[in-house]
Amino acid sequence: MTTTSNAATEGVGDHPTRYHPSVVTEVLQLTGRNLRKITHEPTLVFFSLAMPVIMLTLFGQVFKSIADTPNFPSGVSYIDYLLPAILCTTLVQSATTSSTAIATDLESGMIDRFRSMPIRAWTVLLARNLSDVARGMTQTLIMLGLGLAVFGFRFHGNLVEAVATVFVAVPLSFAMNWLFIWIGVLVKKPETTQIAGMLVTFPLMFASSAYVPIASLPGWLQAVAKVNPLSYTVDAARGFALGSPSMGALGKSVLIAAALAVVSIVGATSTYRRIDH
Amino acid sequence: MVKQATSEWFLPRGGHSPARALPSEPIIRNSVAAEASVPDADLAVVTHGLTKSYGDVDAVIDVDMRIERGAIVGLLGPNGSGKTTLIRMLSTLLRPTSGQALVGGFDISTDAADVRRCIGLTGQFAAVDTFLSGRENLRMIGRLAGMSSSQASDRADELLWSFDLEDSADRHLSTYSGGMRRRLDLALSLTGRPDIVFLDEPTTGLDPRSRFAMWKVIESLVADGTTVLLCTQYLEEADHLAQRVVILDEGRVVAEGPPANLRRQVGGIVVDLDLRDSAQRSDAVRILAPTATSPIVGEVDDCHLRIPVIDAEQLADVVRLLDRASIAFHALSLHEPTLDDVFLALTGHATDHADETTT
Repeated sequence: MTTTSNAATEGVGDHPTRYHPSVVTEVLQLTGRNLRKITHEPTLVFFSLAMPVIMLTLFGQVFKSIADTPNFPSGVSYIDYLLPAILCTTLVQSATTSSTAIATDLESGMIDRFRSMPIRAWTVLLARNLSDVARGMTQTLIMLGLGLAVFGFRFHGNLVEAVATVFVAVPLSFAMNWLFIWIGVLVKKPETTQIAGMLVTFPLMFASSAYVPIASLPGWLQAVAKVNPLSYTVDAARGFALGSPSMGALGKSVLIAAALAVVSIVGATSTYRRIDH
Repeated sequence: MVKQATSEWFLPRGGHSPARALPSEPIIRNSVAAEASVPDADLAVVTHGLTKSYGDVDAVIDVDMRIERGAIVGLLGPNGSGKTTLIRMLSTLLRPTSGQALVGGFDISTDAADVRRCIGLTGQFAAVDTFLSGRENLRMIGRLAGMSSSQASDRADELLWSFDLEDSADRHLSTYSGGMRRRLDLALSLTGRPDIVFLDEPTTGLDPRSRFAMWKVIESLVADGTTVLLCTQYLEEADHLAQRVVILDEGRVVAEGPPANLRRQVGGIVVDLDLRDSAQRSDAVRILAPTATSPIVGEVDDCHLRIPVIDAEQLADVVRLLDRASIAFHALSLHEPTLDDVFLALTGHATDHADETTT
């Protein structure tokens, strides 16, 4: 091994580099690191897409006839009704990987390394959030592409409404990612976070307006669906996709996402700061 | 900072005496005075009554430690003795339950950010990003340590060269061997040019060649004035690298001093005895106990005994006593005491506790 003493520790005593990196540098470096994981591991994105694709295919067939029931908006095909919901659930499902990713970093010692460096605690978490929202959005766009190209999905509204369909779920995605980061730092075990992810997302996805109109659900499930934040986001996305935007749903969706984000950010950062203490 | 190699013994400071008192030597008093004359803020690491408890379980109890700048100190102890807990407290990852510690002159509890600016930590598992290449890892840590993009690149090149990782610098980490990952891990810890480096079992699981390479790196660090606290289970490693060792057992400091002085504690020489009949083991221990300088210890269910004695002349006594009691043996040999013998003498149990994970 060619080790010279100088190179390894040159300049001990004078520290030209010992200043705090800027917040922007920290966030960019850490987000970049998380995103590079995705480019190194494209199969991860591929397999995370498998679930929404299966749902789109199966549900598109299984619930096709629901379009003929009285609770269903008239003149709308089931795929046009389903796809905006799939875009939202894709984001919610993708958020679960935040907790696995942060738990993996905890287990590998990467978080220990960051915590033993003069880096702000919250930038590590924010970077996790931003990269995972970006990944979720990428998956959503791929799903939209598939919907348009393969499944015969069509927007009923104008271009602005079409764009809004895609981006209306971003606040919820942001909030859900924070929730799952919180779960990740609480649970700390990557395997356990995956189970926790299923436990949270499955009720959210099915007890909602995502796949069938709320009115066609049993009474008790309607009650659950009406307090489910995903229902409002799905309603908002669907409103834009079908060319009849619901500002009420949009407003509620954003408000609920904001509340969830605030609680999760506070929870995640305080838990992160107390890790191991 | 002037490098101060302490060649003397000193007992741990503070009210806590070691669980098993060590035979005193006249130089003990002098060295305590010499140590104490250095102000706390000028030391690389100083702890007073540092304690960490998890509920009823005390992981680290009342540790008083002083490490002069530029020194390399070995922290020895079996798994579960509190080594990792101590290192994690000193590197601000764990908050102590009670007690104080200054690292680089900064309080670990109140000035954590300042402490983090002058330390490097290499944990037990290589904390490297397996999705990045070696160079990408180093650049990222350099940028996070506050370097500009070009400074971080230069520093990465420098470290890749120092750690013999140039050829694989741009390769995915999945192609790295365990030894390469550990070297990269250490390189990452040194990216910000820390004054004080905490190494938690940096060679555990490495093959002898990689371990030797790691030793060279650690030696070069100290040659440049970096302070190193080296946590290890390998007594040979501490013997080879450290000017001074601190021995932890069940969370307490049980001994401290240069390896040579610690070896002297055991006696001049250790007799290795292989009994023919393991049934006679307890008889042998009883008969030879008065001759030994510290308790005779051997592996359980084994005929092998280690008997620390003052010098080779007592070998005759050992043989005579065994003969008189009609205890037969296969082999008898002598060895210079190792730190392993020291550990056995001090704590009454061996260092190779593989049954529990570290705390």
